[in-house]
Amino acid sequence: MRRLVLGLDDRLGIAPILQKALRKAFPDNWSFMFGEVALYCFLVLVATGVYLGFFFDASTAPATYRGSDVALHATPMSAAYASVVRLSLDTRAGLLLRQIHHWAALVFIAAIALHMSRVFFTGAFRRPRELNWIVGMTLLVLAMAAGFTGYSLPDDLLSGTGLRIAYSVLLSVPVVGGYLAFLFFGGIFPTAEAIGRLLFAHVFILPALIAGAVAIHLAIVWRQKHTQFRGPGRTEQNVVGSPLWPNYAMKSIGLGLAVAATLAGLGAFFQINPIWLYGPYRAYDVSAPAQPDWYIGWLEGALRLGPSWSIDVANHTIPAPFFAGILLPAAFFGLLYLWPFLERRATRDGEPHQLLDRPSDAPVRTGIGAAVLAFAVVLTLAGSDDVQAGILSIPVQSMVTGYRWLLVVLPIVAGLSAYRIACELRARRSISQPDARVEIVRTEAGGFDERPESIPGGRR
Amino acid sequence: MNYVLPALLAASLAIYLRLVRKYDGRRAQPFDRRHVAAFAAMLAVLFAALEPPLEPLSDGSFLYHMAQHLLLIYVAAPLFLLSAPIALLLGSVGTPNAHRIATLLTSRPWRFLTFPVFAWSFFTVVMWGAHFSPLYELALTNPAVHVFEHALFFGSAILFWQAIVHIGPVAWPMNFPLRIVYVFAAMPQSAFLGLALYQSKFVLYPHYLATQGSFAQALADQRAGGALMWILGGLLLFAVFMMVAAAWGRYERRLGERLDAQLDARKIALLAATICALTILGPARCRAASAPSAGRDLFAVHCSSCHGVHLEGSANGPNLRAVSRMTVEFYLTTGRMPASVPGIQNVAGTPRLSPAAIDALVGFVMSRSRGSNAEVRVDNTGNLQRGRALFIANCSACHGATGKGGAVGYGWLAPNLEIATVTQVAQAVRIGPGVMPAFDPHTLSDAQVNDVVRYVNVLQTDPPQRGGIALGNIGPVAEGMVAWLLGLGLIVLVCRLIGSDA
Repeated sequence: MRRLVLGLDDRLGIAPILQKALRKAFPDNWSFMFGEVALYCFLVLVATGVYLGFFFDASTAPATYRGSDVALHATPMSAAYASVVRLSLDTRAGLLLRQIHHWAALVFIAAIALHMSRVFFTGAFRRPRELNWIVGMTLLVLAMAAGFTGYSLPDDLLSGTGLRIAYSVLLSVPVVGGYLAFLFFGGIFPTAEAIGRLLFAHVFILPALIAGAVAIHLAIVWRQKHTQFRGPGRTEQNVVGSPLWPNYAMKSIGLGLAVAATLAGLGAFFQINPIWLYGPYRAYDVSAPAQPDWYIGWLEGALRLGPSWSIDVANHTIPAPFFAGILLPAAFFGLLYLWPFLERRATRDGEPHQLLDRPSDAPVRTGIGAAVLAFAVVLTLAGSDDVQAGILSIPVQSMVTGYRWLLVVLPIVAGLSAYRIACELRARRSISQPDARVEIVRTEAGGFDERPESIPGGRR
Repeated sequence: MNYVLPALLAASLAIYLRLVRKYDGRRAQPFDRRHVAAFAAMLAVLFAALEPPLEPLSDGSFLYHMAQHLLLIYVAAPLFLLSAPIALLLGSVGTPNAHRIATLLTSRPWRFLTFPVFAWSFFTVVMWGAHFSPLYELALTNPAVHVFEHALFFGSAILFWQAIVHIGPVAWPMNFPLRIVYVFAAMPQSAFLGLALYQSKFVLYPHYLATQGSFAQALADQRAGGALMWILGGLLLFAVFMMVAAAWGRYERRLGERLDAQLDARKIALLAATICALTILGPARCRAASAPSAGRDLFAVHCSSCHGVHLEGSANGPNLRAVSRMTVEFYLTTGRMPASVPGIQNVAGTPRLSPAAIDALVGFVMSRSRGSNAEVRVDNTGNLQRGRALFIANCSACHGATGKGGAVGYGWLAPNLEIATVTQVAQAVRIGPGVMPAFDPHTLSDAQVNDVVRYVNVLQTDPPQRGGIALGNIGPVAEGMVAWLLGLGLIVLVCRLIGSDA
């Protein structure tokens, strides 16, 4: 074995490179691990997805179902739906893996959101990492697209309703809406082509793009090295952390196993998306209340809260869904994509930064971040206003009015509060963390005391 | 010692007791003595809070001052409301004065003042404003401002608590879930205020610098006060939270028990009447005379206030002269009628009348109504597959594919079908209660109704909960919460364990 390794190294000469790579230092602050969590979720998604792919039939051809759910026997359904019900109820480990897959998708995007928040509030996106912020944003968009296409594959009543909304929102785009909808759906909804195209996007295009973007994301991190918080011995020129091998690798592998275990636990003990109860999608059926998965909830909420504007411009009608369903998300993502550049312009700070801010170091950024987060949270909550209306016995109309107000008020309140708190914390830190060290002397009585003159300002 | 406060407290007790005597004189039912006990307890708490030994201590120490304030806002104020002042006032003054008070209670300013969102916000603003403005310091040095501050605290606390203490007339009645949310929302607010005081590195009120002697002692005293608000305030609010939850449970149970007891008494009377009639008049006349008369009694007691003695209806309830047997049975057996409050959607629950009483009532109403006497016949042998298709096509748009129900607009709810019996489901399909459309036999045949009922029954009794805990079958909302809180929550915990702080 040793000879084999030595022989290989003799010919390839990779030992020095490998040695350097394995000794690379990784800061191991706990909040730096959320991105890895997303990565491990992605691996679980690929592994479980491959199994599901063996049993899925991406066809809208009529099928008859003769499986163990007797109530569905005479129901006309598509082959796609029938195959997912069979996969769920009559395939060994099918339901377990489908549930793990679905839970992994929900946690995947949640981990991305958390990771993004961490990067944002610590200013990790600043020069030289603007590029990787853009790659990360793209990963978020791709993950949401992968989630939505996957959610729509079973051709069940709930996801079909979501697909119909997506179709209508596409149609609302001025001038090109009809072409866009045709491009994605291949005709007037519901179409026979949709499921096949969704499958191709879900199992090929999107995973390939995600894998590619992840590779770029990690390569850039590798090249630029990780950021770190301020601390003893940490400067803009060095990286303090655990060496990749064995310390950090062990931690990371442990984290990966914990992620896999959590997802498996969720899949084993919690039912998710019981499509056999929802039934196959038929354009004239509907179930209410209906919600999308959580990461689409804010788009649903935007549609629910959006104004009912309908504007005629030069013989083209711009219908209401365009404003809430296209413009708002475009502005939202546009703001996020451009944030590093906007901040650089506003602060005139073009310097490279390897040391992270604490949220309180940049009150304006923290305030704006809190406001944007509050905005997204209100939209997400509004996406399930009918469920809340049912539980709280409040009319849906009142909920909508309330959420519209909240959408305006809460971001302002959250932003200003976060800004004030950050300012306060920053001011306080400058008092409680003096630059000079304090000298401790032993008194004659045997106690310890600070030497008054060594305290900055001489105040006690 | 100052005698103003004891004199005031004694005077208010005297007035209160006088009103109670008047109330007892005017009303058939005496004033509940528990209210009197609450009033006495409030006076005792006020005395303890505002008299020695606490009062002198609170002059020099933020901690004791905080204890005093907590007594005022979290103990005395709720006790004041529990003493039912408005109900007492309304019951003890003469009719013209009662009218005047009632006008005040329904006036716009009063309704604005007592609106729960306003009351909650006002209390919060007072609490934060008083501590982080010159008011507090001013109150420490100026006795008049101090009295004003205490009155403001006490008054805003009464405003805060009136939203959830429902004794006497209430301008904005809240149901129990909302009341729970109301108290729950106050908990972080109070905790943060306590925490803000606790964490401050400055002595906020210079007055205490003088009384405590040194900066360090004043700061320690202030921290103790903040901690008291944070912890004791939180505990007191939590206790109220639990009390509201308990009151909810008690309310639901008592409702059932009280109605059962009423009905048992009625049943015995009915039985006696029947036996009497059987022996004296013979069976034939008995059926004609006694059963409808029991039904008439029941109708007079439970229904006539809204539907009229002659079924003619009123502003509060519809005319029943053409009502069908199915409708009467549906509303009575699902516990929707007799309603406690007219005008709002009645929610299904335990039947409020016993089966015998319902039979008698249905018999009476149908003897006066020209409506259809038809009954639904369902036997739970319908076709499951057809039932499923019909359910999805006709019912799921409001009740959801899983039958869990939901909001359908303008405050109406499509109820959860979990507790409906097969007969009730079939009756609802035919009569269309509330905003639900009625499906006549041309739309859904009897056989089709039988099919639908079968599928609903399967959803209820044999929900195919494959795959584990069904999370209430309400779909992605619950799933998203589990993914964030349980899934990502656990994983973040792992990150915290294996990652470092630096």
